[in-house]
Amino acid sequence: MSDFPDWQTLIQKHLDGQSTDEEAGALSKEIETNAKVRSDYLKAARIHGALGDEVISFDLESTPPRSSGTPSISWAKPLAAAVIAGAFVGLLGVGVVWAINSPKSEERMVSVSNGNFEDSLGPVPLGFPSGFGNWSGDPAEVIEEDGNRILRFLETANVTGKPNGGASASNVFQLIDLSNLQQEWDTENSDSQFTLELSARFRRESAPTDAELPKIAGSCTIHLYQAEPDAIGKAWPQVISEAVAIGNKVVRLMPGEEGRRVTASCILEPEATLALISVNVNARKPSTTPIKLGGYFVDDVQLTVIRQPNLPVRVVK
Amino acid sequence: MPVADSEDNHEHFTRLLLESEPAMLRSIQVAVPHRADAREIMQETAVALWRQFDTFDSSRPFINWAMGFARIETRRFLARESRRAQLSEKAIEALELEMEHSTEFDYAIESHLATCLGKLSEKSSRLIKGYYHEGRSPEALSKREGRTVEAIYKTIQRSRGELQTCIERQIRKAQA
Repeated sequence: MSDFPDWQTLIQKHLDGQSTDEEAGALSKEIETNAKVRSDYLKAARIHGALGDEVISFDLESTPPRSSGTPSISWAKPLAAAVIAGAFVGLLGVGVVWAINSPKSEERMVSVSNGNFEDSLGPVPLGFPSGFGNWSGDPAEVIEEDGNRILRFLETANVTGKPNGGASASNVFQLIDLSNLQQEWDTENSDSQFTLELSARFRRESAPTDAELPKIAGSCTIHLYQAEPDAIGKAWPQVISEAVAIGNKVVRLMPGEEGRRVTASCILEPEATLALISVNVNARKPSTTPIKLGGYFVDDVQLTVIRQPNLPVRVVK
Repeated sequence: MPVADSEDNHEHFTRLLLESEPAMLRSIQVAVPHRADAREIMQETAVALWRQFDTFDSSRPFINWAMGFARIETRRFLARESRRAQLSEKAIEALELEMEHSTEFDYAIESHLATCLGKLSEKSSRLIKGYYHEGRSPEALSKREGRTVEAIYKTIQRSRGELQTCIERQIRKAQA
């Protein structure tokens, strides 16, 4: 019988540099011969690595702790009622053009209000959006370049206005009603799997603060909630812990580098009644005061829903 | 080499390295979990890659080429450093072999980690953030939280276990 029967505990200790030479030796032998321990070690090490990954740790900054008290959106309506409310509000526009990638999947564009920023010019309203279909958030502005309008991030801020709150990112948000979509596709009873993909094209130009921001990155994020739209801003950011699903994709560009489109995705769970989408730039350094940005731009924000049949084998990109 | 070509080459290299760096660091951390050590190996790897960049065949994936260098630098590091207990050469080889054939969990981490982080308790979330994002040592967290260093380690380790369970649950859910 082994002296180290609890391999999970030993794996975790080793990842933190807490294992002794003897323990590391025993773990090594087990990794060499025991496929389960090898697989468990690999998974644990991957999670440890991912948590330390600056790209993923971006999420941590905006992900507040889960409260042990009453959920902040406990008053969220049951799905059926929310669907009716959403249908009445009718703010979800669904495109009519379908793209069929293969016999097994279908894609449909979901309307993002002013996703290409052509319908506005000047500063984006400050603060968290309280209703569907409008961009608002931290200091940013829509500017026109060669006849094309594009969003420029100006400086980081704390969107809730909390004194001494974290201000290392500039987020621009929009709430999107999913209730019509859920109802129309009957996602609750469907045999298919539904995925939402949020994509945006980022670009970076030189800015005076570039030297102070070596780790700056842009990203697009999608959160799904079962909630009323005005509840998200009221409970932000604690509400994040109650998200039904979250997807995030980060892009790091060098000044002057060719722009790139990034796509974040998440499973569309049937209980989700709204999507909170955001495009953002994170200075990736702790700060409670605004940091001037200026060099990051985003354009052409698109949201797509993809329906795929549930397959016995999951296809992973 | 003309200056312009050199600058283009440098930019091309930097871009490829930036794209591959997160995946490389995570792979290095399988053999060398300590983050500062892994970053040191990454830095040595980057220098080696730049020196040999002229030999890189751009028709092939950069990361595959770069990972070969990372493995060499990892071995060099392990041979010269004994600050922390290490896995055996054979164990690392077994892990590297398995890594090549098990990418699904990596994709799952990318897809579900944020969701699973949101499901941690307040205490766990605060510690994970402090340890990983703010780069605080367990000793510093111990002072901040008013708990023993051992308790801090245990909470962080238990939290990672919870994240693993959550991600595996999300994989099963997606496959159901």
